[in-house]
Amino acid sequence: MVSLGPNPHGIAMIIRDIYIDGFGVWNGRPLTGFTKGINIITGRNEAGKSTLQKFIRYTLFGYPHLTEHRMAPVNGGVHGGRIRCQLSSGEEAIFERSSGSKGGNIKLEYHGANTSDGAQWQQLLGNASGDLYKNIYAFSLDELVELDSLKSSGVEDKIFSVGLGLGNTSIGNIESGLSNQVNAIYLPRGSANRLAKLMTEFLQKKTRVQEIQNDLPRYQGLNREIETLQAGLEKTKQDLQVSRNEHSRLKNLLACYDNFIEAEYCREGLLALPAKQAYPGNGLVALDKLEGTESSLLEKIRDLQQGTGEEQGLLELENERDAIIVKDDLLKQQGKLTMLVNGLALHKQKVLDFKEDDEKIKRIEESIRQELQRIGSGWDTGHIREFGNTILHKDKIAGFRQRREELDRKRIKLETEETTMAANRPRLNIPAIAITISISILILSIVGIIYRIYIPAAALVLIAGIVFWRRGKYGSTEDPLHSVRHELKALREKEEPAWRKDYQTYLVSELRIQGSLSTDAVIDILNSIESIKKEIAEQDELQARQGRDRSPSILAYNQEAASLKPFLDELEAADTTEEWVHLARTKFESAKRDAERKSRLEEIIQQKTRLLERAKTELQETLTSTEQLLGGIGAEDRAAYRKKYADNEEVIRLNEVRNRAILTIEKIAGINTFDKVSQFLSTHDKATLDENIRALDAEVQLLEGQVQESSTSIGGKRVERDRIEGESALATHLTELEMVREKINQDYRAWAAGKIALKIMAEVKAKYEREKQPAVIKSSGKYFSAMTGGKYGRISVSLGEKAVRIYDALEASKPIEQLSRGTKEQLLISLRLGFIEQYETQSEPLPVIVDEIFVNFDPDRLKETARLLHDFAQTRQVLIFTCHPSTKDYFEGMEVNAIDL
Amino acid sequence: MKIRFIHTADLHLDTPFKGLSEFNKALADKLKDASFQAFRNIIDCCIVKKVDFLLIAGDIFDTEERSIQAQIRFVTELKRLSGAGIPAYFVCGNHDFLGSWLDTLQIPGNTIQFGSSLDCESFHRDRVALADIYGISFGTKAVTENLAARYERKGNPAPISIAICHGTIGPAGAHHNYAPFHLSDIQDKQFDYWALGHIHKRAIIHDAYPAVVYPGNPQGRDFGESGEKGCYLVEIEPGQPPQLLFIPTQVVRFEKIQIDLAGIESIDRLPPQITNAIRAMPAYDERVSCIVQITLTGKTRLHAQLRKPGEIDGLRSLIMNEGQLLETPFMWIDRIEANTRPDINMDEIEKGNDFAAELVKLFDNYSDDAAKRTTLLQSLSEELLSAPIKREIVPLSPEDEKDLIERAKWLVLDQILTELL
Repeated sequence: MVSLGPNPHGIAMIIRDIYIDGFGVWNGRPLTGFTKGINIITGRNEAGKSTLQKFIRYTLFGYPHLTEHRMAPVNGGVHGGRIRCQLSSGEEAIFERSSGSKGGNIKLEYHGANTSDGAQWQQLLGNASGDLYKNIYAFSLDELVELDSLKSSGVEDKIFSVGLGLGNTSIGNIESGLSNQVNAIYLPRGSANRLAKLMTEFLQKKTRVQEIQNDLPRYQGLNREIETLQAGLEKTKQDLQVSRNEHSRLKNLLACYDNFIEAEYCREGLLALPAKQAYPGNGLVALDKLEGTESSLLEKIRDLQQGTGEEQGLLELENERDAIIVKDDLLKQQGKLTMLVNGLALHKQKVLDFKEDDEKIKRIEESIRQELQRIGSGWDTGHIREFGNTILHKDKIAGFRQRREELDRKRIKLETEETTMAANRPRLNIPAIAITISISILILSIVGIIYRIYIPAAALVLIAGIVFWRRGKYGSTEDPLHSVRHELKALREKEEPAWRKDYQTYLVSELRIQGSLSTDAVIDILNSIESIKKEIAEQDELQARQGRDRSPSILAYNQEAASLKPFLDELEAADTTEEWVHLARTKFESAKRDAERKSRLEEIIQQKTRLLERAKTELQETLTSTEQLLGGIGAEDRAAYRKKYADNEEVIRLNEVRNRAILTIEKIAGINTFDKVSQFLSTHDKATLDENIRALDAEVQLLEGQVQESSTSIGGKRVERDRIEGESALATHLTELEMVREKINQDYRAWAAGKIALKIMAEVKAKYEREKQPAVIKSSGKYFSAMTGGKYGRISVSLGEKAVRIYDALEASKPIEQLSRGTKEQLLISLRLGFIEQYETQSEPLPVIVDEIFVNFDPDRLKETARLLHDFAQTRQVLIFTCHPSTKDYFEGMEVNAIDL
Repeated sequence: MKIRFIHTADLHLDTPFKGLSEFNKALADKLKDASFQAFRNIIDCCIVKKVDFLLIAGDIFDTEERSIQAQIRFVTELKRLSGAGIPAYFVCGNHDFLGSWLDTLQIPGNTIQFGSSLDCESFHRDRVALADIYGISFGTKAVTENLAARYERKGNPAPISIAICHGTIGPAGAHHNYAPFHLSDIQDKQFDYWALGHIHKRAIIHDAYPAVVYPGNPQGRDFGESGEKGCYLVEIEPGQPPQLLFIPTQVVRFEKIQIDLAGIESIDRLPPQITNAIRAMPAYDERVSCIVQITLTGKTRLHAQLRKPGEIDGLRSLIMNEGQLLETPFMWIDRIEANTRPDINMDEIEKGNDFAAELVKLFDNYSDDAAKRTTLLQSLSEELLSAPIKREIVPLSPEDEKDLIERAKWLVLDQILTELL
């Protein structure tokens, strides 16, 4: 008998009912009647016992990942179902799950509420995993013998962890976690770990640092090389300067050479000439000027005498003057001719006016004749001249015509009235009717008075009065037609005959024209008479003007013109007075021009004669001055004079040229260096100088090349030195290197800490193994000892290797491999029971499921095992699946719940 | 007659910054000129303060780094100083010993580089010698002779005597014990001021008669050189104790900060807590860039959360980002280490009889037993086959070894005690 540890939770979780919607061979199947303690579920082969176990596992802990392992319903129904449980707390929970990914879809009915909270589900199952449950709580015979099943998914670790008092914490997990950590940091082989990568990075950075550091000797070397080259360069530059100076000196001397030759030439020339004289500065100019004056005066005299292409000479002028003959007598007639010429236009106008007046007189005479014919026979100009005042007669005739028109208008009016009245004489006599009415009313008024109706009577009287008074308005009492006819008769018989008599009398007696003429005809005749009278007056005026104004002056002019004829030669050339005048004027103008030209020639001759005399005088004076000039410097003649001056000019010129050459030399070679230069150049020829200069040129070029080469070399080295300087900052690289180094050290320490942890853990585990076996092993040992009837005393497990050994009563050990199958199964059942016992001290106790575990047990051990299980199930639920109906017999005398499938 | 000068040392121009936890090129670029800029700041200060001269007590550059830039830019700055009419006097230290200088380098005429034997240069003002400046340079890298003992004043000294010396006074600490000497070696030599170099942490060893001063380096280069870095402006009047004024010159400051999370319940409170801790550092100056390592310590309920992968990175990104490197000054959190412990009673765990208790006991046993530690680490070293990697691993101090074991312990306990954390 073993003393089993109490279940700290009291009663473990118990499955009460199962309802399978669809799972393998099961569908729509309720399974009820499960109780606390031993439940023996019996079913023949292929009744679905294993399927039911899987249903319980899958429902509580999730469906497998692979669909084909999920036990899909073969007989229809929704894939899944539910399990109603009584928890260790006494509360009820229904776990429902349908097949699906990630374990399937869950529904938890707990505390009267439905939830799909996976965490709560897990918590109610004591956070046990599916694997743990499968291997420890729900194991079959086949599974039992698979030793590996203990090792899978950390179950083995959990056995030990539980035994070590670590609850759910897995020592293996901690170890593997730490191992992973340290291996990620460092592995002796491989380049993927962190330290190896960091080392690679470190070495790269270190290489870069070393590259920079290795520049230091090069930098030093460069500095030294630069110094050496710089010293050499300075020396070459000095040599170059010396050569350049010599080159420059020779070039200067060469540049002086031409001037030196010129100065020498001048010096020799001066030796052959007289000394410099102080002649007047403008001597030659003065001579040239006098000679110029002389020449121009001679030319002027010749021109005056003989003339030029443009001007006539004196001789020619005198001949021309003498050839002109002037008509003086004609010129004396200038006054008369002027008068004739001036009056010629007036004379011509007067002749034209005279002719025009003649034509007008003739036109008037024709007009008068025509007018006289229109008036009538018997009328002539004399008759007209005697006719009285036409205006008075016209007024008189107009009076007759007015009277006649008045009579006509009166007669027409009367005749019209007569006609109208005769046509419109009225049928009612309105006034008579008015009187009758007024009388009638008056009678009525009298009747009123009689009847003493005074007021109406008075009114009637008044009305009668008014009608009577207004009767005239309604008609006349006289006949007007009679009056009109009376007036008309008087007119026709008296007034019209009287007028006619007066009129005819006046025409015949006063005007001596026919009396039958109408007033209009008479006025017309009077108008003609009046017109003829005006024309006669005009004719008289024209004739008077001709006789008074025109004729005398025309005649006088003609006579005056004729008086010029004796002075002209071409008398036959003119026909009219006008032509005479024109001819005379032309002749006069010609004579006048001749006179003027002769006079002008005379003036020119006199002027030129004066000029000639003056030029001759000046010429004499010029010759005198020239003589004096020559005598001034003792020259015999003009050529000698000029020679003297030319020599003196040459002396001056040579002096100037020489001085200029000296100046140029001193400008090139320096002040007061002429003598020195002169001395040098007199002993060196130009070719030698050229040759020396060329040699120096080559030397300078060579040295310049060397300077250039050295400068370039120094420059290159400086560039390299500067580059090294520029790239020589180490702080960044070194700091980066240090950063990586620090990281290496940090990682090393992390690695070292992990390794230390692992080592010390291993040490503790070894010690524990030596000194303390885990509680699981102890519990298992008790179960195993009981099951084997005390043949085996205890079990020992190596924590490091996880190897199980058993010890008999004499403490002889055996490895598990040497046990018989039945004993091995008993050992494994003991281990599981021991684990469950320890596990439940810290977690929710779950129902234990075993499947055909007694097959290989001998009767004694079977019976003992049944008893152990019965005792184990006192506070738990144990579901025993079997195909042997006799299994319940093993529990003889013990309370079990039998369920047949 | 008063003189005024600046005393600096250990410029270490163009040398790397060490200990930065992750590779960051932008940060490296940001730091590349820091040592030069710090020296420029010193030269600027000399010119602005119109000092009489500048003293540099060795280690101007690191010869092992073989940097050309360091010497060139050093001379460039000296020329700037010379242009302002200010002379400089310097000795060479172990890092820039005499033989390591570029032989073609041309220092300004009024800059004095002392040789390997004692020499004296006088500083004159208006043709009157006001100060005698003595110096000895390191002729080779490792000078173990007591150089200070060789300093002796000449006859007819100027009113003020100054010694520039590169060496270690007293215990060397983290530094090489070059040119070691004791205060007693120099106390009676009648110098007014000992301008020392070599020790990077500034220290006034002796106030006066003589004043013995390490100015420290002007720019920190790793988290071991934290705090304010700079130089000393010194005024000395004959017969009076020197007046020293510290002038910060660093461009980037390195700091380590520990923050105890005890009592902090929410991780949301950490960013302001960290920011406040940075601002609360001694002599915090927001005008100076700052690189900080933060260690979270203490027992806290946040322990488990902080141990989750990505949690610390998330916390760091809440406080700063890469964009901060675009700013000047910048504030950069190099790393945040969660060195916290769970808010549980470890004694109880240790008293238990289970696996966790065995673990704790064994880890503690390793931590306490130096011989076991050595054996353990030796076995690790044997597993680390890569020689190049081994070369770069910094040897662990006993403290480092203990830290490593503690870290290993919590790697395991954090997983075993999940239900307690």
